[in-house]
Amino acid sequence: MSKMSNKYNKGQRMIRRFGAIPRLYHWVYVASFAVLLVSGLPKLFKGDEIKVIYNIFGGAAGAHLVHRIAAVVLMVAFPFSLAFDWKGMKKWLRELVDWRKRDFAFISVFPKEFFGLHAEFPPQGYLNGGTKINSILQIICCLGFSISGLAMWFPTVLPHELQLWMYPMHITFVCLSSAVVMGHIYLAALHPNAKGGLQGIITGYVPEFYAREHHGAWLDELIEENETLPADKKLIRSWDSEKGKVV
Amino acid sequence: MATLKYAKFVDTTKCDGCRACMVACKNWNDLPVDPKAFDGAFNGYDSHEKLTANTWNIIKYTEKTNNTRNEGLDWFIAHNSCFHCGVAACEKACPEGAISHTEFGSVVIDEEKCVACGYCVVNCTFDVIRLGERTVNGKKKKVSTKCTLCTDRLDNGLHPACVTACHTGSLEFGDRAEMLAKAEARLDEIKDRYPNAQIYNPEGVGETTMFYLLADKPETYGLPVNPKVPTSLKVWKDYAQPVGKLLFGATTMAVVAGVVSNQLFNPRAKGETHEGGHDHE
Ligand code: SF4
Ligand code: SF4
Repeated sequence: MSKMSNKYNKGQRMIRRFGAIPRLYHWVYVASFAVLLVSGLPKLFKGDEIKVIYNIFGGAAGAHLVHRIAAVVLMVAFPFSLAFDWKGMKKWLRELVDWRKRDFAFISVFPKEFFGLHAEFPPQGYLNGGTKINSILQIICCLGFSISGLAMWFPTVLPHELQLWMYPMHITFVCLSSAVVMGHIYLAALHPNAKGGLQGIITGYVPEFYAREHHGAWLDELIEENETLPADKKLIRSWDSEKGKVV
Repeated sequence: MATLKYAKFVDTTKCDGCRACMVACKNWNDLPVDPKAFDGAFNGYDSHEKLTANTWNIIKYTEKTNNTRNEGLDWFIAHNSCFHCGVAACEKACPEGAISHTEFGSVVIDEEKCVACGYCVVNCTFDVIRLGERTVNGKKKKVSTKCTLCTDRLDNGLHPACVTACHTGSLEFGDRAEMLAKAEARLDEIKDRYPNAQIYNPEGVGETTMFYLLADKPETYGLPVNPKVPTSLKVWKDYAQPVGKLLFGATTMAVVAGVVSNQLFNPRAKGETHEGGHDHE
């Protein structure tokens, strides 16, 4: 990490972007989502090729069990995160319902941004229009596949007529969320403009140029706030190229 | 949809409720008894309230006034088991391709392929399939189970065990057209005594290999009036599944196109870092 980061962080001020719990939640979600997708895939579609996946889990029964364990991890991770970092999680959720002109402006040039053409947009807040949509869609999908998944686990709880609809609901939300995840991985990790940003969700800090470009309005607020903070609570730090870490 | 050539015709007006079919089924299919104490929970006459993993057919008794005759109560008795639907919801729901139609129109389960997910149990139009424990390839395993229409007997030129055991001729097996004609003729015979009598061979599930001549409305027997393959099942398999696949494909294509177009148009893709474009302190 540090070697790669050096390239982007050298001479940069480092901006605190994500707290420990939101980062942990993000990665627990990633891990459980990946396990759920792989262990559930052979049931999602027909075809002998896809059934080969069962072998990874020592058979269908193993895949079943792993799927359920991962499901529990994914579902309890959210309330746990809320309980341990109400402030941090609230900040994220609040942003999602706070839609401003600048968010729509971002979305209108989003296709250009996606394909790497020159895109101009006003300074964005803590989340931009695109990341807001990413989060919102993921939350809706997560609710959708969690509720339907629970119903499939306990198939006699809901009235039968309603239960029948849980199966198409599960596959719909799983496919939709997977598409959102693919888009997110691309934009946050593979896209050339994302350079320097990925470390935010790993270490909690991003280089200032990244914050400036992607979240300019938020950075201005943060700089102002930083002034008022005591030395040990500063949100803006610096990068030690020798040690390869934020100091 | 399977083309149905044969039929198991259940003439409920001839059934005297002796339960020989239940015993014959247990016997041929090596199904253990389902011990059940009398609990008065349902009508007090049925041996079991519903089909189970080890009881693939039951006789259901309904005692009811037959309003056309002033003779008080009548018994409506029906042999109940898998219908072997022409369009079988269980088959459509199964993600493993473990359920299929045979040349006899019977719907059978491949226990080796079954992974006991229970999707068929929930989606069966007539609440027939159950999960139960079986020994498959020497290993104990949970699988879905139900009446096989004694396909193993049919393969050998025999009739289903229940049909062979029936002593009143209430159960018959044979050529479909012949069985349907027989049912029509019998319906004419009993119309006076049972004005609500009807043939129950629902089109909503592509007709069924086991069909009934009922002496009264389907409701009397606890049967659905308009049984059909669940709409949700069609939405699931005919729309959500293919569209989902398409979505996976489309997103992958978009990402690939994005990577390519960035290589072409985005100067940063060529390894330039921020130093090039933006100024910051
Ligand atoms: S009655 Fe149920 S188990 Fe039998 S074929 Fe129809 S859907 Fe399948
Ligand atoms: S329980 Fe078995 S037969 Fe039924 S849907 Fe699942 S895999 Fe198919």
